[in-house]
Amino acid sequence: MLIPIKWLKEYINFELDINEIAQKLINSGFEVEQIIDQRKQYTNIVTSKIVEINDHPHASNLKVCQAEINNGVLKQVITNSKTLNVGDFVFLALEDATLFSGLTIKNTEIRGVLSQGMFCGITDLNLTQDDFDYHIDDKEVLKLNGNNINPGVSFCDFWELNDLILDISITSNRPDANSILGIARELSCILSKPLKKINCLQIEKSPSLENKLKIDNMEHNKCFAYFTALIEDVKILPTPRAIKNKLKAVGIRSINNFVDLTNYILVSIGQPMHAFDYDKIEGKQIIVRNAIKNEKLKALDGKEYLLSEEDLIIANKNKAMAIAGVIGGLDSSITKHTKTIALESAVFSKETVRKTSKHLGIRTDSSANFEKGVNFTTQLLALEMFLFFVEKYKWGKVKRIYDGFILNYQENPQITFTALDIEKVLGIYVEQHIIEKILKGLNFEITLSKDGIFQVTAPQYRTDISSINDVAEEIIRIYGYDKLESDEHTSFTLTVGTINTKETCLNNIRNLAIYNGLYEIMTYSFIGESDFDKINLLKEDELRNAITLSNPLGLDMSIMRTTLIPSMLNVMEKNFSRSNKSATFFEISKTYKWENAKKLNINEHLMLCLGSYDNGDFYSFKAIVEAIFDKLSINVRFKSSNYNFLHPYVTADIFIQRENKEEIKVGFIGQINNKLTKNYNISSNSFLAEINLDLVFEEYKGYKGYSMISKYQPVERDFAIVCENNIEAQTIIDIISDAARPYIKSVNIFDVYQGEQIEKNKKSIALRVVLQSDTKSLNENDINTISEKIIKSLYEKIHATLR
Amino acid sequence: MKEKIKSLVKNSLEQISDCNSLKELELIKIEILSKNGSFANLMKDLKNIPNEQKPFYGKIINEAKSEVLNVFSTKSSILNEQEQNAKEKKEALDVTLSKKYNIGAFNPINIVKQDISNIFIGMGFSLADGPEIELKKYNFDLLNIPEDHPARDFTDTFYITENLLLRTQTSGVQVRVLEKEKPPIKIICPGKVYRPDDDATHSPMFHQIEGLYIDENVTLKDLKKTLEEFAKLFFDKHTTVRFRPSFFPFTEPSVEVDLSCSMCHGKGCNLCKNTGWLELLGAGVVNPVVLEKSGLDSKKYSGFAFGIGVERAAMIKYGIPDMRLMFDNDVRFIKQFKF
Repeated sequence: MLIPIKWLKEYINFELDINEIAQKLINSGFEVEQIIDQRKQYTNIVTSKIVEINDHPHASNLKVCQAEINNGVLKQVITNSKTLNVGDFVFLALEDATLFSGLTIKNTEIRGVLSQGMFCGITDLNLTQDDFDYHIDDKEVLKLNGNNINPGVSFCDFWELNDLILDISITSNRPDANSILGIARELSCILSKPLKKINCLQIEKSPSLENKLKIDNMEHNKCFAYFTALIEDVKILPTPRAIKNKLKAVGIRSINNFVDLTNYILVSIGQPMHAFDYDKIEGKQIIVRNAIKNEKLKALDGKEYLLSEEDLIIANKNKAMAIAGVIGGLDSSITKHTKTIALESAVFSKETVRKTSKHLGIRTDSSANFEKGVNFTTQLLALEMFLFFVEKYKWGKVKRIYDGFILNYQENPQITFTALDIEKVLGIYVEQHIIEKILKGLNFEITLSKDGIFQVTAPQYRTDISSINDVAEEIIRIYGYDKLESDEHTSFTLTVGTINTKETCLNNIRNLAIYNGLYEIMTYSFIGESDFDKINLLKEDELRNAITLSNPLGLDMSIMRTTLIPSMLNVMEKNFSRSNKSATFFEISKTYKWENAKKLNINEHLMLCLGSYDNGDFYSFKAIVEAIFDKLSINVRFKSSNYNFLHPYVTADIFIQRENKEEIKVGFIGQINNKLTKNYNISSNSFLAEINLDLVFEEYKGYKGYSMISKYQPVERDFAIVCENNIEAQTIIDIISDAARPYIKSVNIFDVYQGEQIEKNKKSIALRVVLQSDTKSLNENDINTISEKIIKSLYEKIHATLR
Repeated sequence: MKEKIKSLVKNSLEQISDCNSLKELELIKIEILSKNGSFANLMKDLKNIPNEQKPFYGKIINEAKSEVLNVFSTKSSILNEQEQNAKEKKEALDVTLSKKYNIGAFNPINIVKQDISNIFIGMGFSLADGPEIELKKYNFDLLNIPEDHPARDFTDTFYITENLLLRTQTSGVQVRVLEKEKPPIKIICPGKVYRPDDDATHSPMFHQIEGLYIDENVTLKDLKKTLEEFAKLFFDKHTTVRFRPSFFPFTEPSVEVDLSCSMCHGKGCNLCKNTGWLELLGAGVVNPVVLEKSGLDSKKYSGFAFGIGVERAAMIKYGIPDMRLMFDNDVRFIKQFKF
């Protein structure tokens, strides 16, 4: 909301400068976003008197003028104008002046003669013919008419475009403050100064306009109030400069005196109005009704709109004349031939105006105000103010005001409280007399009993006040939030801040990842269907069964992801293409799945995704995953597996192994396959893993308890065995661990060999076994017995032989 | 015999003195001092000497041997040290060369989320969690947001069905916690939230940290005190807090909370657009209507709530100019956040 200070001062007097006023408004809940100085829009443009005109020595079509600005100071200006005479007054743009077109004036030499400025035409100053009561040639230099013109007066002062303007953002609970009057009311309380009297025409109001005009409201749930007035013998004229300049300050273009006046009232008191050409109202009947399906209206903006049954319109007996609260129709609008005007001052429902304005794509000052909410105190006031100006400027004969109806009007509730109740909300005690003064200043009705009980009712226009907390807010915002200081501490109940094991677990994982050189990424939770195609998922893959947004920002952000893999690949691709040579990333985020779409039940799972390109081989990537589980003291096992986006021979599922040997699949790890290397522009030496952390959390037990370190010597034994090619390391380790229980401490495979020395389809494996007892030193005999058990078991289970 | 001994000693000492390496020295040792060495041979020669002279010569030989041994061991330790020195010299490294050990880095959003959470945990708040895909009733209805409020529009909220949406704020967790737990309730809930905006200062997905404290006698003053302490810990101890009246349907009174600018401390700079203040969060006293809707007696209990924008806090704290950088995930950006 733009609030010009001069306009504001028509409602309230104050001496404070604009910065002080802005600060006071900010402190009481009205955010001043900026302060606009109109003078800065037109600097270095002044009135000047032409005192001498000579021919340009080197150019026959140019003149060299001497123009007086300020006490005989002369500026030399070269012009091509033929119409100027000595003694004319014109606007001169001096060095550094910026014209409306954006052109900045500089001192310059034109054909060898210095020119110190430029004479302005009306377009240079953003003026139009309407701003003058004599004919202006818009291609020519503007000559000023009048007797009392002094040279050297800045254009802003001469044209009275010299105001300071507050740009205030108003919260949605305060539509009543959305006008000059609204802000003036606030200041009246903040500054403890009374409002000035508003200029109104007091005139008799009649309960109906009988044969002149009939009002029918068909939609009691959409139109809550409708008042009107008739003005006869109207004169459609340009608007006086005083009103025009005010509208200019708030960014409204001048049309004619009546249209401008409706806008003037809208800004002044927040009441949207509309003016109909009375002679165009067929049947002399105004009907507030829903549009008929596909009913058409050509609006003031020249466009034809196709209406729906939800749109509220103002119609005459035969057809639509306006879209209620949004825009008027062209047919019934005011033209220079208009003789009688019917004014509309009404209240339409917020939702109706909002829906219609949205689906037709029209947003006007009127619709914006109705959407915020127009209260019931301004309809008659608007008409009376309007008629005051009509009388003052003699723009027509004011006959009578139709005293309309108000529906759905609710009294504001009475709120009962004591100063202690207010303290319970604020935490500081505000004295009774201060409460009383503040609320009176805000126009509350107040009674205060001897025992300190307040009974208050907010003024009609404040529909946002219904509880003690609301009242407390009113008090503290005027009293000042800086007063919320106190050395007394409230007695807080002792609470202990806790983090759950899940959070502990996450911190462990994240820290470990960082110290292993991983970068943490953050990607959007939404992806597109095409991402599934890109990772090569089959049409029937379960991961495609995703939750879809009904209003996504785009197709690529239209579904909630069921896996973090596509986002990870995108990040890898992006970094790869930006020549970031190698990297390993991780992300911890949720995935989303329907559990029961009918019941709207959803599963959100926290996932850990890892991705790496050109940063070591499969085993170094797998080592990170293993380290994570090691850090959490959870046993995991890897088993060959297959995914459409991963390498068929370098992929494993990850299982958590419970103490009872039960295995739970928690994720997968693998190298990307050929197809993905093509779909994404990344190195084939890329690896991915995804782990369901919710399943991991369930297994996380934290510290497992102390176990004694054996004081007996560990013994190492190396074995070299030959077995079938397809036997996995894990199988061999399992067999040995089982056979050598309880002495086995570790089994480590340190060499795998395939080649000439070995039979075809077989491989040689060298491994080191560490044996140790908790109760005795193992002697040669013990060790031999265990070794034999291992060898026997390997042979029996996988036909492995010693090499 | 004497001559023999003398010449052996002389010869031996010369050999030792001329020797330049431990390896050579070892050969000399074998030649002179071993079982079959020169001294041993001399001892064998004693058998050709008359018996009564044997002890005399035996003693001389032993003395001579021990003299040679002494010189030998001195020479050995000198050579040993020389050779060690030479070996170490060979091992010399250019210590300014490096082998990089790569340490990763957190996304700044998560650093700030963690920092803020830790501060409030220190003040006795506990972590809580809620779903990102939320029912309309928790995101709007029970938070006292009117049916026709523009925040409910398609342009302001992502919908899945009429009643299911992506939460636009973490405040829904307030209601979920209020339904389940009895006061005192003191929780923070960090999490992702979603709104259909996308520009330099808005992202369709961003993070909030919701705070809620419900107990008997909790007031607006307590909120201010809590946030003042937070601001001091999060930025620095000189940070001050300013409340400005504002409006949220689920708090009453509602405030916008500004912090004194962390860059200029109120003098005015680019970061704070010369106002000296940075807008960081919205807060307020929990609207009694919300308490009642959740089945709590608003006569007995009161509370405060606040919602901090994590990305905004990160942008302020680290001087990040564009929110989208935090979702771009370029290694060169993330790398800067290892601390």
